[in-house]
Amino acid sequence: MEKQITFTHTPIVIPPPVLPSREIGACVEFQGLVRELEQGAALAGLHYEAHESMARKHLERIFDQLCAAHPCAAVVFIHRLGWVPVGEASLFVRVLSSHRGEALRFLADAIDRMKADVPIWKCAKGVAAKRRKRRKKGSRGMGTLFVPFAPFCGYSLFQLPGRSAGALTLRKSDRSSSGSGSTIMRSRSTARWMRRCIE
Amino acid sequence: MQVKLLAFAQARDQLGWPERMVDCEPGETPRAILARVLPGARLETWRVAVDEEYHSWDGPIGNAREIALIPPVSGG
Repeated sequence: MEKQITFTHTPIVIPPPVLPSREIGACVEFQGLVRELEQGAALAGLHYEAHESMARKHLERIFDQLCAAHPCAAVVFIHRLGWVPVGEASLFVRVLSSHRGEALRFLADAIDRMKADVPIWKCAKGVAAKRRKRRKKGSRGMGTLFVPFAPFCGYSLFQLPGRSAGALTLRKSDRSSSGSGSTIMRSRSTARWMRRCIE
Repeated sequence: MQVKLLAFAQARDQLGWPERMVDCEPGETPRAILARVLPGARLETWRVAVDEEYHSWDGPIGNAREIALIPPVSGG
């Protein structure tokens, strides 16, 4: 399996798909965007950090393990670090495989595993600023809030007014070149959408 | 021996620095080392990695070169 893992401090530029063979029938892409609202309070964005070398090592291992379960030809993983304003992508993943089922399962499991084990952190700056204000007034609190399980992050390919939903692109690149299409789905629960799509 | 101790996210906030060299012995555990560096640290939600692999808080570090304090991760 071809694996491309990138961490970047600049906005994610989606690379053009490169098909490793003519047997690729599915190209599944996913973007995670930073959402604005957290419990009714507006965030300006999120700050991301990572133990980069460890994250890279664990992602490679996760991708190898998932490839054994859901054979895929290639994965492109790009994660942004540093400050990411609301509406911009913090994550891009593309999976190529012969059939959609493997690619969708690989993608859903890869994101779940990343959120559980890969040393990447997000920090909600808007909330941090509010807490600093409160602390100055004498209340308790940490200087920053690191978000454990991504309640601040929505997933979308398109920026929507107000709160963004999630989206997943599923491209059917017909190997006989007789036709192709794509489907856009939106949801705030990425994994649920992917699994529904597989079913 | 000296080991590089890395602190990320909340761990860095609590310690006040992102990395530091600490003196330790191969038989020492990450829990014992952190107790010296940050007495009273609450480790329930943190994990520890030794040379970039997740490690038990109570396992000896051996000839490790790096110990990383890993608060709950939240990528994506």
